[in-house]
Amino acid sequence: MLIFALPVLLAAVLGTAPSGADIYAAKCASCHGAQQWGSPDGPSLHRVGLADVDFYLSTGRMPAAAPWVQVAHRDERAGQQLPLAEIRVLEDYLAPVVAGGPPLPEVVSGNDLEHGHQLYEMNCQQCHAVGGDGGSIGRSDWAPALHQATIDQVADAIRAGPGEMPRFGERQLTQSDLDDVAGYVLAMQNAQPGSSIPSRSSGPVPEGALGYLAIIVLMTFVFGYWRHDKGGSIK
Amino acid sequence: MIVRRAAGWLDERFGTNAIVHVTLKKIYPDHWSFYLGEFALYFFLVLVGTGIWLTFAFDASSQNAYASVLALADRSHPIGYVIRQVHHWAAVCFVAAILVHMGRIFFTGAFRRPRELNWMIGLCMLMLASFTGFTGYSLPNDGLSGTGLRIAYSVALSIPLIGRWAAGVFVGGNDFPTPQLTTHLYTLHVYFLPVLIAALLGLHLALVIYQKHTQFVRDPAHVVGRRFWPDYALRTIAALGATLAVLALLATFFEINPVGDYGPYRPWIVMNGAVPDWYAAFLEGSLRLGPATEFRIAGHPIPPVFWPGLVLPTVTFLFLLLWPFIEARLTGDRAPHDVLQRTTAVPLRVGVGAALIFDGLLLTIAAGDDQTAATLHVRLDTLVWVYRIALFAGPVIAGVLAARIAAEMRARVPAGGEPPPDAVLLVRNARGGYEEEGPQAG
Repeated sequence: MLIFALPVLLAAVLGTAPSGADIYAAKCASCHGAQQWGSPDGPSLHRVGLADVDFYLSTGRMPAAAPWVQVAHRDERAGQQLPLAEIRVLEDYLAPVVAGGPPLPEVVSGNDLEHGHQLYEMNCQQCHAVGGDGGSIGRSDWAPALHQATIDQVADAIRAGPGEMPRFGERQLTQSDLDDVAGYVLAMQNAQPGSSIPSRSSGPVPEGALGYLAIIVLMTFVFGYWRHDKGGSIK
Repeated sequence: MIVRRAAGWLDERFGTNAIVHVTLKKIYPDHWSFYLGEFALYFFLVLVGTGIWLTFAFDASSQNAYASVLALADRSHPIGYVIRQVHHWAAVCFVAAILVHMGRIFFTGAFRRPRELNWMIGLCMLMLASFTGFTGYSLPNDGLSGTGLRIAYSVALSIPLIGRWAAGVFVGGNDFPTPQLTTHLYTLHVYFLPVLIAALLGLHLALVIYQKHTQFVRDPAHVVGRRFWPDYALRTIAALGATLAVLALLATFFEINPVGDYGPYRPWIVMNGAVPDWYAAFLEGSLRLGPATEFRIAGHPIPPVFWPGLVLPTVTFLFLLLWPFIEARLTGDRAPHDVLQRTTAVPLRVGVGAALIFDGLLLTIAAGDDQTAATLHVRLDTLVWVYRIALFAGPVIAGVLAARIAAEMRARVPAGGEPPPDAVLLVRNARGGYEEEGPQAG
């Protein structure tokens, strides 16, 4: 491990940018193998596609803190992702190996929100929920919330299908479909309460809790008043 | 002056003065916990009032229902959206108030002879209120409530022998969703169920007046309390005002059931994290925990949703309905009672109550097991098994613990008002310190 990390440390000390091979050797090779064929600790990277690589790196799910660390939740790795420049260098280095899978998608925020909404309802809402809250999808798998996803990460995930998520290729979602869905996800992130686009939904569970809170507030007033006003009973 | 002349006019013709006098002078016992039932009553009044308003704006056909609810936010209905919010918040609070009121009745023994019948009426109103809430929640024909209706339809289908017929009566046809489904629900929600509740409510209050309200004061011979006018009437009007104020605040600051977010109901659209309103959540929870096993009785399959979806709530309801008689048999106390008990007076009752509350809470929480699993980062399957074990072990532990605590608390406070034998009197001395006076000294 330490020997692999040496070039990166050296580069950092000397002030030169580490090469893709150096970063790979330091951060990835212990699990994915020196030739990217994988190991018992991590899958092969051959033909996974650059969209997949970009999704895991840019959301901070990779590099994992240690093998077998659950990397499905981005929160666990918040702020620990590689610097953007290193991600680009690493992607350039891996591009020949991972070629054959979904390439890095081009995406712009689509304008047809209604179409994006329809596509979201048909393809995404089953797991990512109304408003992009995410949720459990059985066993120990969950669909993450979309509140912090960037447009590129949304496109990466749609094309690459990381984890349990299915891959949506060009035949399922065309380029303009992809733009519209991504545009809709961004619109959800920026939605204000009361607009026609759902923001984070509260749902019936907090609503019921608030109802009980209302009863408690009412009873607190009655109790306080009753304690204050106890005298004056007559038979 | 006008009041006096009007009263005189009525009295000459109907002899009302004597009745009015008795009514105004009638004495009601007073305790803060007695206001729970009143809040339930006022939530119901708000529901009727706002509900009548909403019928003018609502289109009770499956095709147009969703659009007509969304249109409440338009300029054509200047206060439509807030009226709908008040209505829904009042429904959520109504069922909650009934349940807490019922808890007060249960733990203070107010249901004992001679008031068993009123306990049963109250329990029927709780069930009807839940049904009314569910049908109303389903009226907008939105994506979330449509999913809930589909579940209810499947549960109705699972009834042995009559399932297909019962489900057909419920939705008005042999398919789901039928075009007339919303109209069916509308009739149930607006005419049938509320009228039934109103009738039972009248009976409930009439019995309270006729049999007299229970009281905490230990004076079985007299009713101790306040006159209806002016003491009690003004207090209950204040309670009505507080109810309206709380509902107005909730409706103004907290959006409830944003059906615009969920989209219209289309059977092929589903969403993650779908749960019903809180009072139906225990049924959702029991469906989620129920085993996926199908029994066959004489070749006839009993679907797995039948047991958690119908048998469990029915058995629970019957048990609670008959509880006054079950308790009388178990404790041997069949005497009539007008004086309420301390909550610790009957440990058996405390234990049963604690067990029921535990399972009710557990099943309600289990309705959101997917969200809990995602939040806590645990396996959903593990969580389901934890809940299943807790569903059976929890009430036993909670019940025994609560009964033991109640028994010990009861032992500490003897019935005669004497201090317990190990009580210590603290006396403040001239220097400001405290000195103990033991039982033998005192």
